[in-house]
Amino acid sequence: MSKKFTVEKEIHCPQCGVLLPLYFKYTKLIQCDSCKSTIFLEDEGSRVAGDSSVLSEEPSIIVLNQAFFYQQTSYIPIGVIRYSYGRGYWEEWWIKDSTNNAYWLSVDEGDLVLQQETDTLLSLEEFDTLYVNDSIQDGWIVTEKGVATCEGFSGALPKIVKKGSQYHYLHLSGKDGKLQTIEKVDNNLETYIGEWISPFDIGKVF
Amino acid sequence: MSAKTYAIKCTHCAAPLDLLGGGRVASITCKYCHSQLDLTNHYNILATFNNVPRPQSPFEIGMKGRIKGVEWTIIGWVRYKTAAFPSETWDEFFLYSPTHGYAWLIQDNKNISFSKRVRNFDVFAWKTKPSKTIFYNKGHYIQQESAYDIYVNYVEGSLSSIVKFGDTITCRDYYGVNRKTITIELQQNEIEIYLVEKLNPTSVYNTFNIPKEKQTIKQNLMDKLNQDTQEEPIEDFEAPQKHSRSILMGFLMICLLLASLAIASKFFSTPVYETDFNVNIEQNITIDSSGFLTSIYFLATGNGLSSNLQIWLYKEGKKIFYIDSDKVYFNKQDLGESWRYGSNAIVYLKLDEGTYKLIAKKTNPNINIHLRIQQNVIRLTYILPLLIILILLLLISYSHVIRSKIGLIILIIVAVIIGYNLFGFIALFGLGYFYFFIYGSYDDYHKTHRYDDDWDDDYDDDWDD
Repeated sequence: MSKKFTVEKEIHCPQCGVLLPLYFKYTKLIQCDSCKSTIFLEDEGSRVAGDSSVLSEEPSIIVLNQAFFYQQTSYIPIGVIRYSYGRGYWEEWWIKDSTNNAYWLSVDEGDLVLQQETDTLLSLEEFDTLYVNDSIQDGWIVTEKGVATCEGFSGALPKIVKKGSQYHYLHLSGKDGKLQTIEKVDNNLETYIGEWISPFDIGKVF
Repeated sequence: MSAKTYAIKCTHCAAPLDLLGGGRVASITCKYCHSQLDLTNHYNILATFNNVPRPQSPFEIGMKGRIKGVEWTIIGWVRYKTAAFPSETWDEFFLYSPTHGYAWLIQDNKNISFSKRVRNFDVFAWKTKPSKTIFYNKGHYIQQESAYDIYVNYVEGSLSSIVKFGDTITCRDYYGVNRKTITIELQQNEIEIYLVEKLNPTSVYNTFNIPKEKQTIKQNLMDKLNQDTQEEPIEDFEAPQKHSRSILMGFLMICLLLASLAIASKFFSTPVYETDFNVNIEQNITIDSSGFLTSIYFLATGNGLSSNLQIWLYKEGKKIFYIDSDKVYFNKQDLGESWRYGSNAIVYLKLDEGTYKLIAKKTNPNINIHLRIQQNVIRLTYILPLLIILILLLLISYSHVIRSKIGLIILIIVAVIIGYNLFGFIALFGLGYFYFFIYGSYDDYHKTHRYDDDWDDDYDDDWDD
């Protein structure tokens, strides 16, 4: 792993005792590399969640804990959630740059979207009534509406996810090539805005 | 790393079908009965296209090859035909990579290109105000031909959308540098943007193991393309040629304009006042045109200008211009030293229209001075160097067209002669500076932006351990 990325904290796995590095202080969920236990991080403590998930090895342009660069900035993938849409899957990678800014990188069969969380301007009622090709304020147009099922996760994450849980999402396209994702999770909306990046612009860090 | 392969049977004719590609594949078309199955809905038959002849192509579904350092599998095939007469046909092969997703390999009878959909193009701005020029990823792209319609002539294999025979698409091509094109496709209400890059045909045929006898791009054309793409990528391809031609025309027009000005300078100027004097003079002169410069030329016998010659120009009682052997004054400003010695001098002034009082005094009565004032003068000192630099740049830009640097050498020699005559040794320093700094950096740029022959290696370095 690149020396640019530092371990901010270490915890012991409550199940097997192995030392787990935390690369980001906002980590809420981590999977033990050794016993694959899912561990919730609560303030100063940690506890083992009931279930665990093991993601099947799939070819991916992004590899957990292997730094990559994009536009002269290097990033480290800290965690990944795999979502299924029936016939296929996509992955949401939690990554941070060398100045500790955190991002979500969506990887869907060569389509990469780098996003950061932002304020939600949509109401739950509006979310439910939007469909593909509908427009909302500032010229955003809905390009996809669907339901995602969590197949599992690996590494460390800033939020709690459960294997098998489902959420509704909207993908929107906006001005300047911007892309927006709005997710409905437990009756709350989470909004992410960012940009599409070409897989050919991703490079390895040695 | 390879694509997973699943086999199913065509629900119409029971022929075996390989399901290549990832989760975004939406349809598969049987190559035997041309039934299109909906992969999103239990392989239901969407349509069957009878009596469709299968075209010939060197590429087949299932072939694998490396493009841009990534292994791709051909999973689908669409043949398009232009709607306008005379029609053109070309093949687009749908590619899949587990890491890099979907792309297209495009082959016509002249070129092979790689096309991938991009989503960071500002479609909103383009839709609001479609333009002949667009900006994408720090590069300008120019639309050189109007929009054209194409329709689907043949479909086979897996695709990420439902594509039927006869479907029409409206395309707009925007040409950029480095063999890249942005293609905007409009189909019904959908707009898709593709970045298309021309590839080295031999490399593509080799990586997909296409035998020589099946390579459809004619060998002589391929040799030329390979040679050109290795040496000079941009100008030798058909569409960018138009682009370079327009730049060439622009350059030539500027050169023609400058050359016209240089020639006109010999005939355009008109005399205002001319005299030989050995006594002091005081004379009213009239300037009719302020469009160009006014020149004041002195020619003295012997080393006459070093004597105390003084010239004044007054307009409406105000001193406009003054010159003697030490200093020059013009428009309320001291412009520094004038001549210290010599027998002739020329001064260019930007004078407004009107009547001026000319006063000329000299202290040495033995020296005759010839004075000539002309208006509408075009100063060659500005035009000729600009013309020479433009011609040099033009020649450097198209040195690959000339294929030898004989023309360049001849022009440099001409430039040296003209420069030396106009400016003396300073011109040689200027030309040296031009060669080492401007031409040098331009030449480096040109070399580094030649056809990226190592496209196969760029990403190998990144991804292949």
